[in-house]
Amino acid sequence: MPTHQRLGGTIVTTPTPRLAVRHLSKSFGSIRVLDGVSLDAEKGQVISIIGSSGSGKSTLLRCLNLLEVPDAGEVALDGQPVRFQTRRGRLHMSREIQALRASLPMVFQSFNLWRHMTVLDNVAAAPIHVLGRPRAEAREHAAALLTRVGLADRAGHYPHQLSGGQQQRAAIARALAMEPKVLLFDEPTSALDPELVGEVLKVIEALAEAGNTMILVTHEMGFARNVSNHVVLLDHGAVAEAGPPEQVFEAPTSERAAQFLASVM
Amino acid sequence: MDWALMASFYPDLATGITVTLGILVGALSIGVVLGAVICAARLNRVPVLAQVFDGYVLFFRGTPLLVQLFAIYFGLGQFEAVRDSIAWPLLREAWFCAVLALGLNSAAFTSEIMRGGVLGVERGQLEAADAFGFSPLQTLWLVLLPQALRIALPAYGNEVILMLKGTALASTISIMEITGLARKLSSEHFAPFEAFIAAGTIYLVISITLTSSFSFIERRLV
Repeated sequence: MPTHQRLGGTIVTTPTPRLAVRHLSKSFGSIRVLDGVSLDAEKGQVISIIGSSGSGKSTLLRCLNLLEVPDAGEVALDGQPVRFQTRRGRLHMSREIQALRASLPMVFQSFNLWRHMTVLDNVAAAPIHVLGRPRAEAREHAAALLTRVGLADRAGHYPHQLSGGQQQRAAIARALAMEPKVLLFDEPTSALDPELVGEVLKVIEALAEAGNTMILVTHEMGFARNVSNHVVLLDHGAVAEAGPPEQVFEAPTSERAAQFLASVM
Repeated sequence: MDWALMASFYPDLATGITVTLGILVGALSIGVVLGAVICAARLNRVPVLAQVFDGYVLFFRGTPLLVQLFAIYFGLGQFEAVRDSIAWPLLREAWFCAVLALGLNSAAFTSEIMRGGVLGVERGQLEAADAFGFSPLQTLWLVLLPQALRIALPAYGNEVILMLKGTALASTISIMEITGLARKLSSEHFAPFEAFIAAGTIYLVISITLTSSFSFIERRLV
């Protein structure tokens, strides 16, 4: 949905955001987890979603690819609103949803690499079976991506033979293999031993520099500040503060944001 | 203990191996197919079917296999509707009743083993498949079943061994499988120990072969 602004008599069209989230709400039972959240991700933008646990960060992320079904609100990818239907409260699967998910792959906190597949097969599986790429081509691409995340020598290993940091890097390669429009990261370093966090953050940082559009839910405040160009602070399911990291971290306007930042910094 | 006599039993007993294995393979086939149906219906709580199968599993797991075999072989024939049915030519055959009883019994246990396998797959594994745009059928074939199979295999290997030993009950309804032949030889030669030990060693060889095949597959599946 392009917005039109009148500037000195000429019409300027601002580009459609890659991902536009409008008034997203979601409740689990009587608990309102998301309460009218709106958010735009421009192409190439890196957005960090921060907030205390239970603030709705992960639910917001999971509503974007419909792993959770929002109760109200709209998500639009490149200006196309995401349409879905539910039956008896459960998402009714469609090709459209599959295509959406394929373009918004997710990196999970607990990696969730398919344990019965080698690392290479993990990376090549969705391109082959979802995107319909020829097997040889997908495997070649997968090998190149594994090299990019520093796992060229682990391609034939199974996930359980890898360290947590290596598994998460493989999971990032798996997401990259989709040639994603937006990469979703759900607390990608929370399950890692402290000494392994760095290697994963380094890979994510390189992706940010390469111009990938990314939305990260994270507890790593220093990282959020250095890598992202937009930070959203959620509190009780609503946006408490949003803006460039300097503003959110150094000059928060809301009291709730100031409190939260004081407690984590 | 007459070793020479015992050795002389083997050629006769060997003719029963194909019968034993035939009953085993038939029963396991029924068990896998019906077990999968039962497992799917119960996990998805398909109305009516799920309740019927709940009762089915309760019955076949909670009563002796021998009782089930007798009920089918001796019991069904007393009903006129059964005798008049097109299935009667099969149902009056002892071998068919043996395969059927063992198969129905195995289905109950196999469905539970499959259920354990499916429920043992981590949620995150399926969620990752969803998140990458797999269709429900792709998630089933590419992620759920391979992982459930791996989890269920050791327990299923156990079920196969139990069924192998269960085939010996077929001798009670006149089938000349390994145990039936051993009984015949033992009374003909008044040498029960030699006959049954010889039969036992044959079962042992078969179950060792099965066990090692299963552990070989388990190792291959990571």
